[in-house]
Amino acid sequence: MTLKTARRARLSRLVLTTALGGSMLGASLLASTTAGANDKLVELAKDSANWVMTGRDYNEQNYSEMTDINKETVKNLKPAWSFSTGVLHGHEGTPLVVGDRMFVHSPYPNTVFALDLNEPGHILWQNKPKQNPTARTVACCDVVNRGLAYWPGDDDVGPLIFRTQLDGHIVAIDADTGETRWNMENADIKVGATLTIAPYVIKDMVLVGSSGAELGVRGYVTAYDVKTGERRWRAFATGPDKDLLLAKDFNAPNPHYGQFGLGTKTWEGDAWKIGGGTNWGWYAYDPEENLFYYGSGNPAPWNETMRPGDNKWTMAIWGRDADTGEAKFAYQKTPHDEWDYAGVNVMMLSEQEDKEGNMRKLLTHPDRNGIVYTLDRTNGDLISADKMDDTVNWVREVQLDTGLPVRDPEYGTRMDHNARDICPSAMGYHNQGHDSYDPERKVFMLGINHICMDWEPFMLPYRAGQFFVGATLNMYPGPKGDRQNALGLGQVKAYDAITGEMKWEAMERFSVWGGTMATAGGLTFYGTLDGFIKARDSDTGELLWKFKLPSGVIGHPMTYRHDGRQYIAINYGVGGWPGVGLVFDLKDPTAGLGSVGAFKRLQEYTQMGGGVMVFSLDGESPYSDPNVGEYVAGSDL
Amino acid sequence: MARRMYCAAVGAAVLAAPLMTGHALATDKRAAASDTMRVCASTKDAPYSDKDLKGFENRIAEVIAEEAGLKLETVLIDKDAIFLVRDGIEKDLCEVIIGVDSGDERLLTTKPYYKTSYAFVSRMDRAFDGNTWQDVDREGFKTFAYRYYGPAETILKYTGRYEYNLIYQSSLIGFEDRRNRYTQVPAKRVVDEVAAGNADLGILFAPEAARYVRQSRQPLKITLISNDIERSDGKIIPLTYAQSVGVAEDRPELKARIEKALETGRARIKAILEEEGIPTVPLS
Repeated sequence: MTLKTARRARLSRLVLTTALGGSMLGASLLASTTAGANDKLVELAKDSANWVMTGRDYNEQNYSEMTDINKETVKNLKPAWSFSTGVLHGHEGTPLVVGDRMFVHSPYPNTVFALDLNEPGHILWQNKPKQNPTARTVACCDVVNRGLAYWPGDDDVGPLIFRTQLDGHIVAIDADTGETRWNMENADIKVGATLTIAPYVIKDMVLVGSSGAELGVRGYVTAYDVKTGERRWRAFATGPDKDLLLAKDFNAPNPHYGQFGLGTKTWEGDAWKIGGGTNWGWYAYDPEENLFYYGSGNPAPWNETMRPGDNKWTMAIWGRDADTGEAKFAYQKTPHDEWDYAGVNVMMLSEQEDKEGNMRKLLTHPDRNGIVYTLDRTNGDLISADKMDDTVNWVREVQLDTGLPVRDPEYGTRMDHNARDICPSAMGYHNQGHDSYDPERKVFMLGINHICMDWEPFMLPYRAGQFFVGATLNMYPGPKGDRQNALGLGQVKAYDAITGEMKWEAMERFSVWGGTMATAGGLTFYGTLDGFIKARDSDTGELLWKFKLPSGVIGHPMTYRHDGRQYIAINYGVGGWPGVGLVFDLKDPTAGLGSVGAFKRLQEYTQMGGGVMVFSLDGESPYSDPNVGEYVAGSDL
Repeated sequence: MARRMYCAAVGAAVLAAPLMTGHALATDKRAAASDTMRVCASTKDAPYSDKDLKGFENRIAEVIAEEAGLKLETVLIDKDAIFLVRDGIEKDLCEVIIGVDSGDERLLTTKPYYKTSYAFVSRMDRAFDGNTWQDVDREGFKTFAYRYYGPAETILKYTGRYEYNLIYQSSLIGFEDRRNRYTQVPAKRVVDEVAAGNADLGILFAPEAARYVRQSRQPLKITLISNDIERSDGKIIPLTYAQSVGVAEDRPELKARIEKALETGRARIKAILEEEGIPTVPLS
């Protein structure tokens, strides 16, 4: 931090305060000396200019009320400015915008940049950590990171940016200066635990998950004090009830989901100690209920024969009290997972009338297993569970009364059975993408993988009582794709959670890995692995606009307003699990659990890159005045 | 454990092209010249076999071929030895594997030519005196290095030592994701970890450890484990295994010829095993 940039940062903070002063937002900020940070975040999110968290607001709807860019004007959308992070590899997540600043994150080495939206060509500050490079080899699926969290500050402490690092650390950064405030080890890289999740701010706490189930990490979520990094609570996914932090009335409204003692009883012996169930996806929060929601991932070890039982509470949707971490409900979607359907996917909150016409507070979760679940988020009641594509075949249906999936044994992965054409593949029909909800149209815009797999188990004996149990995975497009040419690996769909119907759907050449954004302008935006950002008509699915980015997309779009102008921004940088073959130059089609074979043609469409691309109508930007940002002697204070 | 049905299942794994050594060219048909013995050996199986043919089984192969009056053709396969039957014998690249468990159902196996057990490797200065598998559960012995996929894991699980040790053990493969890949700790690494004091005990099949124990500058001790594991369901998991030469099922006459060679070459093979430093138990 040089003197020069410190002064600049103070200056821009002044600008920010002034800019907000006239709005209703400014008033609430001034009045909020006793209110929690979540109130401030809620208020900040009410201003459609901002994008203060990964899913824009606590509802995680990835939805903007802005309408300047709409079905009519979108054809005039053009590049406004761009920013390279200087990092190749997969760029997941999306930037944040608060006031006149954009905060950009990068994959490992996990550098954070603050850009001045008045002059985006100037980096206000950057914070590049020193990390244990071992982290690179430990990470299973490229060195991605899903984004940042923002805490708006209070009377004592200024605003903070939170970053997770691949080496397992959670770091608080001064949002004004870029200085590191504190740095805590959330997971020890020496135990194979990494961090890729975006942190999540609720009140004066920051929540962080965990990664590395493949290596026997026992999953947990932890809350830290935003100011000090002190741990408030930690809740595990497996083990004794006291480690799970179960509330006294846990699952009382739905006792058939299971209640107490199951974190150990549904495992053989002490296997829960290395049972996985990490969470590296997304959170959502309901301030009225004071509950937050997330999904725990797959059980470990990977091979299902080694872990008989339901393996609770891996693969569960959790609703926990934000202050204590206590679980009010948990619903296990895939008991005893056999396919690696890690259920960490996005939770989108909406309020809709159910089939009986009752207004319900809902949580909708497109799971990796190919089912979209909608629960009553106040008590965990299962309201609907629909196949996100009719080609899902591991399960015949999910019984709403029992909550149990009715499996089709033909597509199981037991040792004595060669399973052909299991849909979805281990990558899931829905992976880490952050999808969106359009509250006007009452539809969820889903970015989908259309990939199936063959699962060929084998057991190889060796001498002295040694043997290796494994499986060869081959992945390829689902039945609706072009299997001959290994293309047609993705879909975009508009889903109504109440009727279970798809309003429209469109095929894509590759998976829509990063997720979608919906706007009141009637548009659905998303990026593609082959490097396009596209806009479709939210009513019909008609493709209205696209632009070819420097590299493929695995993050989700966002939109913000600055100086009265609406912008669309998206991270580009191919990688992640679908990109491991391209990124690490792998040829064996079964490598990356089969991803290399499924995405073998990706390299014909894109290469590595990394950065943010920003669009506006007619490409207008601060630089439309060519004098902005020009050299003037003595002006670069 | 040895069930053929599982082995036939793998078609898609990409094979490294086998490297041919020796004088004769490999032929496509099992009807290989009757004066030739094609031996499959791994490049990654030290101390049994390695890419420079410095493994003790590479030497035993020479002895057997000489005693049997056969031309030795070593088919080096650039994969872990666990794949030799599937990707060597079953693909008709060879008909002989020098070291397999006696009675391996996938092959014809000769009468055993030695027998030995899993063993503890410890530093002399730790004065470890255990010789049953339960003895891993000793105060002050917390960290264990072993090779994956075998009874060493069972020993640690049954003594309650597995979970705590898992992190350390994963560090020996650089925390690589083991999901559907065969990932193994080299035997030398296990012994080196004990010598360096990183692991309190090493647990290995004795032939895997012997050479490195002998070569270590840090004085080490190798102790055979004397008992078998009885599982909770009553099933016995043996810790002692007799080793035989494995021959393709359709070559019984070759098996007989090799058995005769093992007889006539007994002293020479014994010398190789002794030089290697492998502690054995009597063949009974």
